[in-house]
Amino acid sequence: MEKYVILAVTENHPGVLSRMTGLLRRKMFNIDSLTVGKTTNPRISRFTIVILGNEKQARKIARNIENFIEVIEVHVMKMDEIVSREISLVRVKADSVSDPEVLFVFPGVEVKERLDGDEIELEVIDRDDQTDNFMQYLLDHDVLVEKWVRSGVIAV
Amino acid sequence: MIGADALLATLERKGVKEIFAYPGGAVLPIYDRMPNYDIRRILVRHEQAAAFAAQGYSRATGGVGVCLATSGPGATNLVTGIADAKLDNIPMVAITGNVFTHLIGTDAFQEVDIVGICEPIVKHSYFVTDANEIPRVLEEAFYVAKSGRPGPVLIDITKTAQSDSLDPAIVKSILSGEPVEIDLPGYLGDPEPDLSEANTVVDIIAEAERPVVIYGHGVNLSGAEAELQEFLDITGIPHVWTLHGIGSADETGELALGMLGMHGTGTANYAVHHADVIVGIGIRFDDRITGLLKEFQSNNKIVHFDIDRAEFDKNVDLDGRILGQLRETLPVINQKLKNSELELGSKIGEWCGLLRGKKKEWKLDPNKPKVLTEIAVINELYKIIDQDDIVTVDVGQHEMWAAQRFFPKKSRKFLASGGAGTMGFSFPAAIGAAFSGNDVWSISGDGGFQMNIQEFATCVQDKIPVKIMVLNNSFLGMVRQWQELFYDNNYVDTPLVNPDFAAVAAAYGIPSFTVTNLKDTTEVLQKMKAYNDGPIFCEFKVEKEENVFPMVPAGESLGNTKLNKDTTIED
Ligand SMILES: Cc1ncc(C[n+]2csc(CCOP(=O)(O)OP(=O)(O)O)c2C)c(N)n1
Repeated sequence: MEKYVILAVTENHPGVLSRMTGLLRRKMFNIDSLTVGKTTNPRISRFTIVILGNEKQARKIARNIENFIEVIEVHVMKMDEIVSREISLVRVKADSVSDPEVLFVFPGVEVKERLDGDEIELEVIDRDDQTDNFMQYLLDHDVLVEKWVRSGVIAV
Repeated sequence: MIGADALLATLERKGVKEIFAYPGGAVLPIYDRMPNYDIRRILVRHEQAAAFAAQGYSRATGGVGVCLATSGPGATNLVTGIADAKLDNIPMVAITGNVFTHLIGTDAFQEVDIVGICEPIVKHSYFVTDANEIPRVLEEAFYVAKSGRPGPVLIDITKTAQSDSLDPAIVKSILSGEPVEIDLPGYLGDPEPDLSEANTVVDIIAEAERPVVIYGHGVNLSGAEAELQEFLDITGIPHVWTLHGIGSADETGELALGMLGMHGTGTANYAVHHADVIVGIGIRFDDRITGLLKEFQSNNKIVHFDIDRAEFDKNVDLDGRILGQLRETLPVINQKLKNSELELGSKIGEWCGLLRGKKKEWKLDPNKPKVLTEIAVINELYKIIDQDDIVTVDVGQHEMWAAQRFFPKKSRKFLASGGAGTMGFSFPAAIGAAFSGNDVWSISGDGGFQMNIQEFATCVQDKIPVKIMVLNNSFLGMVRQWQELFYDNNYVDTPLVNPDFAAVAAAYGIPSFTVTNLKDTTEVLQKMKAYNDGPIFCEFKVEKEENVFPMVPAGESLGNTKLNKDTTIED
């Protein structure tokens, strides 16, 4: 199984998101990540949906998505073939970071601030696999992660 | 002009002559205005029947049937009929009222999220809170329901939107009869035909040695019956059909092998099982026709004509695909076949000979019946009906026996609930079909008939001329058959204690008969045929434990088609 990204341009109507997630559930996909936002045209939304599967499954589900009346355009791509980013907001326990260098190894990581001296806030903007790697890296270096919030993947 | 007027005026403008409906609090603004419009209301006795009647109308006429129900339980009663329409690609517009807009989301009396409930079973849906949107939404709903791959569209309108006045500008444009603009940037309607694989498909067809055509519902949905017939005539390929394909081509010729699938004819299943090329036209390779996919798909090439790209390679892997309305794509292929250098039909002589032989060998009903069986009644009915008569069937044994034995000269004459297999379909669907102006016969089993028996009252009050037949075998016959064959005769909850159906019909004021022996059958059917003063009813007390054959046990290969309990087509 590999990650596939489905990019959908849709009308910005209530209910479109629910049609999408309902379809994926009915076809027994587990959504790896789903994000949606407005575009420069407020009547149009963009979805980035990441699913796990093979190419055939990804193309099939894309055709089903295409059939929704409010969907204007759909593209399917392999995750590693397109530009994608995910944002994470992270808080780690300050005194668990024995070597501050560990926070600077990954280029997508920005150390935002120290909160009340006890926690450090990080912002990670990177591909989702890199984000996973960074997460693992921190765990491997015994950094105590208090909170990790991921935005879901966006891609063009 | 209020929202209710906008709704009714638009329906009138769309040519809607009747709606199948049931009143309630959340649609009162619409009911209040209905008498002002030239739309006949058919007062069903259960909203499920409204949905089936609307479907029956669509199925019989090719138009778009309309049903209407109140919020909450009225709306949820439509659900089965909407799901059934989705699975069978029936264009239909279902309208529900909902509570006042300010009460939405408060768990108000009779508030349900019907748009949410129906999300997976509609082609599209609308939730309307603004009266001004009603004309556009209706315009779009009819277009979406009917175009492309058809399906049901749900419009849920709050009581507020039904009661509010429209902006004067919109009122003006409605009154002037100006076309209403639709706004569907993501919807193409009928897709552009994609014939990029046409040459491959033509070559595969021309080079086949053991080809078979399977045609289905797509043919009549696209109005492509003549184009299909031309294709069959040019190629001379033996053909089989699905339940919804019935009547879409000449089904009486030597190479018309019958319906295929779980209860398909031996010859049809044999042909598909042994074919080297399968040409699927307007079908969706559903499990009831393919049987075990692995075997359906072995040692053959499959080409597929369809309007929905999402159907391509869905259940079977294809070797050729032709996308588009069949009435547009088939003529292109027909022309190419005619122009082709390849000698059409030169390689299929032996195959056709083999199948002609099988068809004779496995002829249905070789012997005259001696007692009153369902098959006997069905055969008698088929003999006496006119070619424009419509027959609706319910779900179960009688449905399959009839499907195997009806070869109408036109499509839209044999109406069944195929994809959903919903018991209770036949009678209300017949009520809707009656508005096509043709004579309509409704056949049900004793089980399914009681699922919508209350529609006797609709027929009487609205004087709807349905010829109603119940084939009473005192069992949920099809389930009993499975219990007999696969669960060791363990008849749990399939024997039925039934009312005196003719007496029930009579209590509603419907002329009725009970037939208990074979010799009275034709005479009573003739009486029903001649009767033209509203509904008429007959119960046939038939043999109790007959089984439908041929049969492919669920999940098995078409090669395992049983001609009777002991023999398969491969024996
Ligand atoms: C609404 C619904 N409930 C249950 C079933 C399952 N089912 C399929 S056939 C059948 C028996 C039908 O019996 P009857 O109406 O007497 O017709 P027969 O098979 O005897 O012709 C049943 C219960 C169904 N198809 N639809």
